[in-house]
Amino acid sequence: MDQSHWQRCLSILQEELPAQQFSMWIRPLQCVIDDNIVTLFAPNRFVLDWVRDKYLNRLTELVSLNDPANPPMLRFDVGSIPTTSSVKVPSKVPAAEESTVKKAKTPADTNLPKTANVRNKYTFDNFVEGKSNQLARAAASQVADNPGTAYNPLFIYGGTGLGKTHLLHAVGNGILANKPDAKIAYMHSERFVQDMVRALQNNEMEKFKQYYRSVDALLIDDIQFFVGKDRTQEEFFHTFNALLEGNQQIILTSDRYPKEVDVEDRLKSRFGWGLTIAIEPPELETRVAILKRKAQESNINLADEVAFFIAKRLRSNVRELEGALNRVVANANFTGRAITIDFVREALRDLLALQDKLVTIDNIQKTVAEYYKIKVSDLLSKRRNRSVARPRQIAMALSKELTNHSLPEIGDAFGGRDHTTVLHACRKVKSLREETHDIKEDYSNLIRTLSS
Amino acid sequence: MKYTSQLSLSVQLPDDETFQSFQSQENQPVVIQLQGFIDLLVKQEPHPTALYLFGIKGVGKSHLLHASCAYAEQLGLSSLNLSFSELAQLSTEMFDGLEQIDVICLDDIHLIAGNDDFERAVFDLFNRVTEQGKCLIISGDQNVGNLDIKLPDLLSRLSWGLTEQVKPIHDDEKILALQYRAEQRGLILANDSAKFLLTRLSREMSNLISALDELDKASIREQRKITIPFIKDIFPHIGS
Repeated sequence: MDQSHWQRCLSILQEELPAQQFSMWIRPLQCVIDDNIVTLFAPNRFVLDWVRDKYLNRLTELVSLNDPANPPMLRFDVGSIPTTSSVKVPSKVPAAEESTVKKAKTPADTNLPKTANVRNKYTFDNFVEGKSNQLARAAASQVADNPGTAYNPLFIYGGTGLGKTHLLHAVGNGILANKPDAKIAYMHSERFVQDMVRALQNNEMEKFKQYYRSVDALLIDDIQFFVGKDRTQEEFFHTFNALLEGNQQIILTSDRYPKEVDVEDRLKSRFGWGLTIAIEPPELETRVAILKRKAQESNINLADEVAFFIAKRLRSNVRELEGALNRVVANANFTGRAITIDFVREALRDLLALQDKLVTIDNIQKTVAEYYKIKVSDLLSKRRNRSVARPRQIAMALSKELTNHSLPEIGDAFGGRDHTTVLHACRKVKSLREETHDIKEDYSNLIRTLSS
Repeated sequence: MKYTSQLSLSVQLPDDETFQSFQSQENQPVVIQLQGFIDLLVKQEPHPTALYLFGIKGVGKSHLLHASCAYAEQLGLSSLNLSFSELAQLSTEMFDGLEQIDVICLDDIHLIAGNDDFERAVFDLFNRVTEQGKCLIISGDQNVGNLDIKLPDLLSRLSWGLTEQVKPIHDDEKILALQYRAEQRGLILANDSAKFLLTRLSREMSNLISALDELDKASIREQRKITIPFIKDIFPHIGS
């Protein structure tokens, strides 16, 4: 049996099976033939069991078609054959040798290379700085220059898509720039959990501990996903202590303040030992700068007015902005049209319609009332006690920022108030946001809810 | 060996869900984007992790995902198309190691909305795929912003890459698509028969193709051509 026979088997199965079954279970199989042994590699145990359970008979028949008198032995295993490196010459399935098979991850894989997963495309140079993220950037930059001594741990928190991961990688790259042989591990918290589970299953915890405690910097993203993983938290606690004692740098990110991360108290308190810093949704000017930078990276000249048009409408996070720009650029490349406001309006029609639908004064009132646990009617009433007046002012300020309504229109929508009342509310909220952490946080949360 | 649970593989019809068989002029940009996206992976050029396709039920999203797998395979890439319509039979273990596959298609992502385990599993897969530089092609029935997915981290990642809307296919294009598929099966489907199917059956392409499959089998069995009277015989409920 050879690869061309396996191709024939695939063609027959493709004809026999519904497209969905073929694409889901047969396509991911990779075939290695050695002597008269056919090994089918499945990406994981679940697929392997499914295929063996449902298709074993037929597969056995098919691989035997060529030489029924001397049928090959059919085996199944979990693993994969790298294909991307060999794809420059198109072929149905690259001829594979057994030595190229990458078996499923074992704890040995936790013995990662020195710079595990640090992506060199994320640097401080291409991190667009603004008011919302400048403190986080400055702290990260100091850590990159003085790992283990500046702030340890550095805990960066903020909503999704605001640049936390970018900063983690930037620190990793910054440390490497100063010390090329530094051993740095970046990973998402889920990966840490998976590595530990595998190490436990394979009785190789020592190797696991050894690896994680030997790094110069451990960068773990989205630590909130440790919730409910008691054994992982326990192990991480010890890793954390060991690293700190050895003056090795720890940087963690989360979508919330350390005290609100649902992990053991002793971990929570340790998260706050170094420097905790927030990263906020970018303000308009930063969003514009991000768009212009991204466009430049794609060799696109994005006019200021177009960048402002997009940035004014998409406020929730940087990923959404980048996604919108990707759509615009893809459309422009396809149609060959210039990127104007009209063009953007057309290319992002559904996205913009969604924003318009979400951000109405009604919706702002509803969201603010829910957030402060009061009634919408309170916001529209004449009541002036603080528990109602403050949310009302915030709702007015949000209406000014997020909609295109005029001040008199906003006043009307809030129980027929005068436009000067709206103006006063906007000014008051602006100063409160600068002075009071809670108001600043509330305002950011509301903007995020309304524009995501 | 569990012989009892083996599927009986009756000979079915050829899988012809390719880009070539996707007959919709208006959706050509989508086809080009999908091909271009997979080409970037082949050329090992920088690319977003995901391409998100959305459109109402029956516009051909699943067809496009199958076609993407077929296209990837032609280019020597490994691929898989995981449909969440089979969610009840799946486990999150299904996602283990998938980042080793070059092109991973996830069909009907809206069906995992509110399922914490699956939302987390797809989010984790997304991160692993990004790390490995592979790609995801994901379909849903709504624009990302309208999906009921609860995990904001997953939503923001879905909105990050390329997004394409698959627009409803015009009736005349559905007729052409049906005729193309009939031809692939060695059948002749005249205009009047195709129009008859379109006006009497649900106009979703998947239903029309199932009907065509049934007519194909019946026409072999009864040695008859596909005509309106024959269609009425096979589907008596639509005949009147």
